[in-house]
Amino acid sequence: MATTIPSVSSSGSIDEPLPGEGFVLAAAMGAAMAGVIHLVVVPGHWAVSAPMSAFFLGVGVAQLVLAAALGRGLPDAVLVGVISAHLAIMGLYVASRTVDLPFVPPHDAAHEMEHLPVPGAVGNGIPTYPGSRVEPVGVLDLLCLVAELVLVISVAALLPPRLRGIMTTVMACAAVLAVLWRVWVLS
Amino acid sequence: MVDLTRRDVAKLSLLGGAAVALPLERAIGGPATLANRIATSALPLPFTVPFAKPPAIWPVRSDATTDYYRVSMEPAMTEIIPGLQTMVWGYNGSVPGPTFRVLKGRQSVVRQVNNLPGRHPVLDYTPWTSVHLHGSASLPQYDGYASDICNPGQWKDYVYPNKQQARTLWYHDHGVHHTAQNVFMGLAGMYIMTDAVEQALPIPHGEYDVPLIVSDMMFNADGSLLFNLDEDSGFYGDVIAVNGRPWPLMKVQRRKYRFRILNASVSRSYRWSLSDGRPMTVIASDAGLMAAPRNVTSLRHAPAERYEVVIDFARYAPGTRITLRNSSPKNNVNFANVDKVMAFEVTGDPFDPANNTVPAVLEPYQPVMALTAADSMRTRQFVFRRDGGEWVINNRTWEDVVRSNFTLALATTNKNDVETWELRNPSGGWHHPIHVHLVDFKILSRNGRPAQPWEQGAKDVVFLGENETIRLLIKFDGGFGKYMMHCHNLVHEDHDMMGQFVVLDGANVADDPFSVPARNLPETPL
Repeated sequence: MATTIPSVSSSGSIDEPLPGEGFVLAAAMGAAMAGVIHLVVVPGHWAVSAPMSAFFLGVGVAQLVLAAALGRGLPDAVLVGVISAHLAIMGLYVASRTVDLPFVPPHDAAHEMEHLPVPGAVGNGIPTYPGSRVEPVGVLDLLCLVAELVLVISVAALLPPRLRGIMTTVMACAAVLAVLWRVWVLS
Repeated sequence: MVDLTRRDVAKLSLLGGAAVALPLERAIGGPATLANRIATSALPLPFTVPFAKPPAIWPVRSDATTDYYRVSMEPAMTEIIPGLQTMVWGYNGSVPGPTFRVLKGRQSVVRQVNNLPGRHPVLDYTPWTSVHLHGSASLPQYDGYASDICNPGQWKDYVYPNKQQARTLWYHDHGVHHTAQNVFMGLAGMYIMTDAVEQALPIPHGEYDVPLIVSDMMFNADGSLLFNLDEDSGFYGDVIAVNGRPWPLMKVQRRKYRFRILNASVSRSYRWSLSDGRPMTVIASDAGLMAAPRNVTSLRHAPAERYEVVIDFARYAPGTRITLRNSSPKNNVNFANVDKVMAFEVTGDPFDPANNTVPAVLEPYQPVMALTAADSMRTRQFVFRRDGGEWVINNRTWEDVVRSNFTLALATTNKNDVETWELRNPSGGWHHPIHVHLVDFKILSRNGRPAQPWEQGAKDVVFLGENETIRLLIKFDGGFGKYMMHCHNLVHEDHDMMGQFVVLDGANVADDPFSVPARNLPETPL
């Protein structure tokens, strides 16, 4: 199904306010803000984890491209893809703030890297504590999360009702499962 | 038409709520490491677990000059909290490790085999070790030099000269980066050296000479050990264990007992007192018997210090219960019941009346205690402080020593020189138990005042309190080569509050700390 965003005229100029324009704008702003934040944190992560920096770089660029593309109208399949990708990114964010992810370096990774190898040693010998791979919640990453939520909600609003219903149900189920999992862990 | 129904809004709200709430809940909820901590109500009530002494270790063989021992560092399951199994790492699987009893003048060779697993099950590090016999003037290659490590699957023979005065020593892990974790897992034990002077004194001996190895522990609900760092300032547990038993109850006869108290805690310092306020008699400190006994109603005890204390239970009626209490020095992290240590229950059982006195003179010939400030040839200053995320000595760390290829020294002196070392802690937020390897020292002053009564003997660890300056008098007569000095809050030590000093002996070349490296299994005959 084609997108429901008749946002531009044949001449390419905006004729009049159209249904969904506010959501398009909100989605574009959310994508732009999230993209900028991801790019801002790239240098800070470079010393600790190059793969993580590359991930932030890729996500940031993709979000900026998305911000620009949203105004041009996107097929529903792409919008579903945008929502799915951002659900995955937000899921990764939530996981990184709640559990030890094996590919996330521990908090004292920079401290580890200051240590020279121990002669004859197996490994670096530095203990890694449960929770030390859980990233602290910061203002910038919360802002990014909110921007991505705005993006996802706005893009969902652009979908035709039936598809939107499916997608919002998937999102709600994911949220409920995440909460139930956390309650189970804490109990 | 683009529009959101109420149902859509409700579902999207669920998503938004969960996405924001879950990270915030985790942030507010505190460290994950404490999430599974055992409830205080699930811990044994104090004084319900019977007291036990650590096991003894015997030589596997002896010759004219030397006793040979074999020790395996290995995991074991043990019941510390009644009804729960705890995996520990022990010397010969025992926590605390087996007690050595050696005679001055007979050398010991202790084979240490690292049979620990390849990775720590929770903290995910390779548990290499370096065994330090604390209180011994060992050669550099047998002193547990932190970077002279023994990986799992390797072994090393440590040679101990046992040439000093009788004293309470202890052996524990000293491996760089994870000493605190290895010791917390159980790698510590007592090593008692006797001599003719000590044996001739009519003080309690034999069954009345009792090791008390005190450590604080913390557990998960399943009984496993819980290591929780308090922002790199230390580890503080909620269970006080004596010889691996939580708050034990010891039955005692109506006579004097000599307790060799070792604070084997990672970070916690204590202040002991008896519940009835009566005095105890301190007869020895780290480096052996004091010149004369000291009666005290309380004494402060930093990690790694040893005090030998005589308690006379003849003054109590049978059935009396006396508690050994802990009024915590400041800047420990305290929990319910860490103010209690163990209890003594006096029985009416018959007892051996021999060796049941404390003479007025104990060991008047401890060489370092005969020194005076006038003997000092120079004074050095050492400042112990926190710098960013690291603990430093004179702005240096062990990493600086490593970076210098183990040449950087905080001090270089000559054999038999006498020096004054002035230790300063400019902070009010923490204290440091400072240990100087190789030597015994005398505390000249504490903030310009005399040392505490219980510190009036030769020592190798000193409690450097908040905003304190301590002056030590040291004669470097125990040997020569590179030796470490460090904070014995093991978390501070691991975060690099450790350096080394060098003792020169003219043109003689000292043994290198790395000159006897660990070897791969299988072992050769001992």
